[in-house]
Amino acid sequence: MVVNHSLLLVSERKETQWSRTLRQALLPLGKLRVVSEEDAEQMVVRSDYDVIIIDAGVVYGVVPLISRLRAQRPEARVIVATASPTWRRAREALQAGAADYIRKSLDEEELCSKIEAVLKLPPPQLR
Amino acid sequence: MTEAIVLFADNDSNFLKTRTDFLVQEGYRVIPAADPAEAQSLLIQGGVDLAILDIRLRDDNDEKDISGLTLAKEVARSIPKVILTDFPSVGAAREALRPQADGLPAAVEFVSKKEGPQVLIQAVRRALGPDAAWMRMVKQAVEGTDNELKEDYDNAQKQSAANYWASLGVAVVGIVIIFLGMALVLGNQLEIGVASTVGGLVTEGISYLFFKRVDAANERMDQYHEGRIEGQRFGTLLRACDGLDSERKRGRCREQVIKAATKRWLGASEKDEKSQ
Repeated sequence: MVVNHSLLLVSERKETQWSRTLRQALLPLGKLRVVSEEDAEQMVVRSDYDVIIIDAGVVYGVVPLISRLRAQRPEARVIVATASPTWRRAREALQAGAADYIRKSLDEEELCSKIEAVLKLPPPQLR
Repeated sequence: MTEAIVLFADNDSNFLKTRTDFLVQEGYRVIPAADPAEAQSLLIQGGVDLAILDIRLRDDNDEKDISGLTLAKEVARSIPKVILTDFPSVGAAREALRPQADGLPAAVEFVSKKEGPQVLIQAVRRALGPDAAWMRMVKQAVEGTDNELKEDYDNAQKQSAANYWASLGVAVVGIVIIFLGMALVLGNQLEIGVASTVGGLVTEGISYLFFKRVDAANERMDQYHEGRIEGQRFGTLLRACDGLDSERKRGRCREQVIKAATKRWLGASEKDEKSQ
């Protein structure tokens, strides 16, 4: 069953291998829109997104972006995806208010279940 | 001083001892726990402002031991937790800091033991929040004022005693001079006798002035004493608020105590101004 969640990926404008994989993985959850770091805030102000995924490999400042996005939409659930995870970056992202910190190398099923789990969380509280 | 109470759970007794000493030096009251069962029972008991939990509370060599993390997730969710580990990993940081089903993370801070005591203390300060620091500041201010009032009270007491003995001494001298003057009058040495009696009366007047200073010093002592009692009442009520079981109740209780004290103190100072 396809659920109609609105999902946003902050990454490169052009389609990448991973954004294609993610789009495919999240098909059962809803439509994924891809936006650049520069346009992310505007997009978040304009429309409600249930989940915002930040591609840490592309975004210059992940933690400031999480803060900016959550300042615009405190109820936004933000997930950081990275190809090279470290515990310090995981700590920074999660303490900045990210709901999860995931590896980009997860397969489609795992990606979908992680995003689904975040969607089930109550709206984040301001820390 | 009312310190924040920190539960520190770690099965490495040397590490527990050194970090406990460090936290005590930083002004915290530390309750150490050496195993998960002890930590769990202390967390359930309550009365702890923050818990620092090592992930591997049973066996440092067992990769599967996540007993500290499990405690953080499952026990006393309202108590903020700092997860401490000698084996930091992405998975552990994720499990500690990502929101759980209730929307809250298991821990508010995740610290590697290798980051040293300063990073730990910063994490503890952040975890306790500005509220705890502010409360400590208020309580220290109450205590500081109490010390000053005690010093003023002691000075006033010394002044009172000194003036009392001076008043008594001068009064006795005055009486002796008066009696001497009267004796001289009776012995037909009228001029010297009258002068002596007058001198005695003047001396008694001086004694009265000393006695008035005793009175003033006693009045100041009463004021300082009242001030100390007020401060102690304020401190006692704030401490009573700390015993409530939720941050919301504690906040509301403190607000009421502060409002009542402000009203009383500002009301008192307005009365003072009017009376002046």
